[in-house]
Amino acid sequence: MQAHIVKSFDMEIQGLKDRITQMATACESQIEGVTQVFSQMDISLARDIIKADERINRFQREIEQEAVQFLARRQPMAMDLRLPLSAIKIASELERIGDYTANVAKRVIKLSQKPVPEQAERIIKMADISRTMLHDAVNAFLKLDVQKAVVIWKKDDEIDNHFSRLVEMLRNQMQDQTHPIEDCTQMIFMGRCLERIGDHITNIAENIYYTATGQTYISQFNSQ
Amino acid sequence: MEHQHAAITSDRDATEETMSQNFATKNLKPGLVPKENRETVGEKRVENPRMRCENVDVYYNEGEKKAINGVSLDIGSNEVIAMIGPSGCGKSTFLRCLNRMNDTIEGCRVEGEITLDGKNIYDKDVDVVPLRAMVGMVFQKPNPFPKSIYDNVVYGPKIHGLVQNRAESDELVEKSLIRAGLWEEVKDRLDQPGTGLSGGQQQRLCIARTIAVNPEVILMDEPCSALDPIATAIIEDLIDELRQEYSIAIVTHSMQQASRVSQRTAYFHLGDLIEIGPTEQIFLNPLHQLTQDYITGRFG
Repeated sequence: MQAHIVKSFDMEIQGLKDRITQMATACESQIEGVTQVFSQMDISLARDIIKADERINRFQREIEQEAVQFLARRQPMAMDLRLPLSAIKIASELERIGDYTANVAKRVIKLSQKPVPEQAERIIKMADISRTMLHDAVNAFLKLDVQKAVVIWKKDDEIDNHFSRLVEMLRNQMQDQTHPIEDCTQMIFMGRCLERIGDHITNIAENIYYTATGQTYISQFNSQ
Repeated sequence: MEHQHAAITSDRDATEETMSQNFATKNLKPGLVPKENRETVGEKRVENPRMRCENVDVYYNEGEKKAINGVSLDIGSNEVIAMIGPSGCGKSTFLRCLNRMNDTIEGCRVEGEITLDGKNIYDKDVDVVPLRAMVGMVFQKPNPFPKSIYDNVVYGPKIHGLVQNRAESDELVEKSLIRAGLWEEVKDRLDQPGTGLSGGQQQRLCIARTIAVNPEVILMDEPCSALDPIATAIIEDLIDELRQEYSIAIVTHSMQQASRVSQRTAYFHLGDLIEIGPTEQIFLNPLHQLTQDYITGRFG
């Protein structure tokens, strides 16, 4: 892509992209943290994650502010207009992702005993997939890579499948009364949080698609 | 958001295959028409055009320099069409073809066909004086005659025999000034010189002068570039209203202005009409690389 005649225009766009990258990286490490909390039942790390959410919220406010200033001062057109709009929307998706990681951390603290390994693995798997998706999404955003955005968008199905399996297992467990109902409920909610994280990442992929193409429906894309 | 996602998921399940097919056949695959391609992209034609241009070429210096290359486009009835592009792209030259203002430039030759209500304006039997009344023009710099406000408006109608007596003149002056949004400001000083008005008022006086001779089309060549933002806003508001009765073609360097006032936009580049289409498409999602570079400030 050719540079703008006005250099500060490009610098401001880069500034927005950098800020989104920082925020997404912060979210990635929150998800990474959740994986650790879960595999090691690390309560003190869980508390750190809950606390770190405030930083992510701050990022969102800053991105919003920068994007609004950019719109007001530059009055951009075409894809230059879509970029700050997407930055605002992506920042709000990331903010929700941050909330969900904090929510998972809160629920881990409430567990009365270690979850059964099979279920723990599911949760960890879901977190791992979402972290990779998020990582790829940031790269796709920086390069406005439509193909990659579509791949990410489709990958959410894997998280959904893990979640369905997890819920099934937990339902059986509750019927058999082999595990405290309270713990099972927390586990369902945690799975739900991770499943929602996946959904928010697909929203990010949709925003990337929109920024690059100006079209809203990613499902129209012929990925071949 | 959750709701939206659910909708998209089911949409994908149900129609992914057909969507993909549509996508492939309609060739909506992201990617702009490359710079090298100078064929016009977008819809040149409209239903019920007021003016229709077919393969218009313009040469300067006895054919030495070609300023416009085979431009075809329609100007619809009751629409504002904006012509944008970098300096020297030919947009003003093209605008001046529409009422044969280029006839006054020595060594300038126009080829192709430009019709107004189906009649070729370059036909031998066309008299340019009534043509320029039918296709009026407003210039960059307000240029009222060194006469009174009243005489500025009534001058054209007198020449064209549109008014026979003082009463008819009075009526036409009032009507024209009202339409141009200037009446309230000048009704008590119609005998004062037009040149004594502010820049924005002078420009509206020129618009009043243009509409006094009952045109079908109004050409505007950067009508606001010499005006402050408030006078500009008043003219833009006026353009919105004038569209109800006339076709308007406006050349402007302000992309914001083009995006505010027009329904269709044409992008010119080095004498070629690169892209033409609905204004929102040109400014939100242009099809041609050159259009995108220009409107996003990447032209260089």
